[in-house]
Amino acid sequence: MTPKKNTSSFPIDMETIDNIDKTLHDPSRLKIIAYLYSLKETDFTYLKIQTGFSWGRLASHLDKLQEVGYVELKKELIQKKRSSKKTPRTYISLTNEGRRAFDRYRNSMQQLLQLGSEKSEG
Amino acid sequence: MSDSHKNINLKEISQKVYRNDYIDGFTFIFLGAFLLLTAGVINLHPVFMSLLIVAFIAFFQLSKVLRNRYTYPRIGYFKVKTDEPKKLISGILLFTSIVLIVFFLLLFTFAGVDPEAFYNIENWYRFLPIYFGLVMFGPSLDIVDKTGQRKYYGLGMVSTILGLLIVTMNFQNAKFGFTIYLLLLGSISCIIGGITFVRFIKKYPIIIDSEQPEMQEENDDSQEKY
Repeated sequence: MTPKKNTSSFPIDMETIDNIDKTLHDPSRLKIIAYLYSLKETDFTYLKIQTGFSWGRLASHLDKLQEVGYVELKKELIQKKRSSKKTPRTYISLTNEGRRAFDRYRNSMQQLLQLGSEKSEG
Repeated sequence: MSDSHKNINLKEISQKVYRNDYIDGFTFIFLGAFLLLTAGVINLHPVFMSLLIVAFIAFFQLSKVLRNRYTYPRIGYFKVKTDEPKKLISGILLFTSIVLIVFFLLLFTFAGVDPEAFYNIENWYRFLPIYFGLVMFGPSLDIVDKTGQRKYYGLGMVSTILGLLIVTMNFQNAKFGFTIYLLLLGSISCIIGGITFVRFIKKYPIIIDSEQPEMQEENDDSQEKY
């Protein structure tokens, strides 16, 4: 038996659900974006410590976020003290598109949760 | 909503980020140093007031150097997103103006100070410590709001209580009283900043080149790219 769709008794706009950003809906990526939202710029070490993710996990999620244009990675060679070699350092920042996407995601989720709670109260 | 989504508290994350901005104590060390310098400058010719602008820029640059040397190697590099300058300046002006109005109302109504007394610059110096203390509640409230840590109310409270004490001590030379106030507040701020810095250094050891791809490429391919 297939459940009947009753949009009037649970008035969630299906379009809102469809429009939820799948990239951001992943909890790990959401956590990364949430940190980047309060930051102007950071590096891998900081994000790794704050999120508690492994290098691999962090790198793969940042790859996905970079692919969709939500984060920007900028590489620079920095001179370390007591070393003749320069070390690569990657600076990570949220793009304007990423910031807007995060705002949209928050609004969609708030909208859904509000509608859900209105239904349960009703 | 999944459990992992529930665990992501955006407010908490934002507060954690801002807390890290004060974790090394440099903010309070430089605030203290600036107050100590002001204490010296106000006793010199007014032309030396421009030194404060130079010092402000110099302290800002110095804090960058010190953070590169002590903070970032321990917790990673980060730059917190700050308020827009326009919003920041209008906020400061609004807050200082409100404090000034409230301050004058209190003086003229409850404390019974004659408004004529304010034609004398000496009286401005006399009440400056308490006004300055009340103004310090501005940054204090802002830091508490951003970090979620109530201990930063202390900045406004200590500044105000100290200002009140200096005003009630009624120094014969009011400028001297304000100088003492700045010296005390500056010293307290430097000491708190210094203690915070020492605790930070002890708590967070230097991370040994965790971002160097050549060091770990055998163990973790993902680092090779970065």
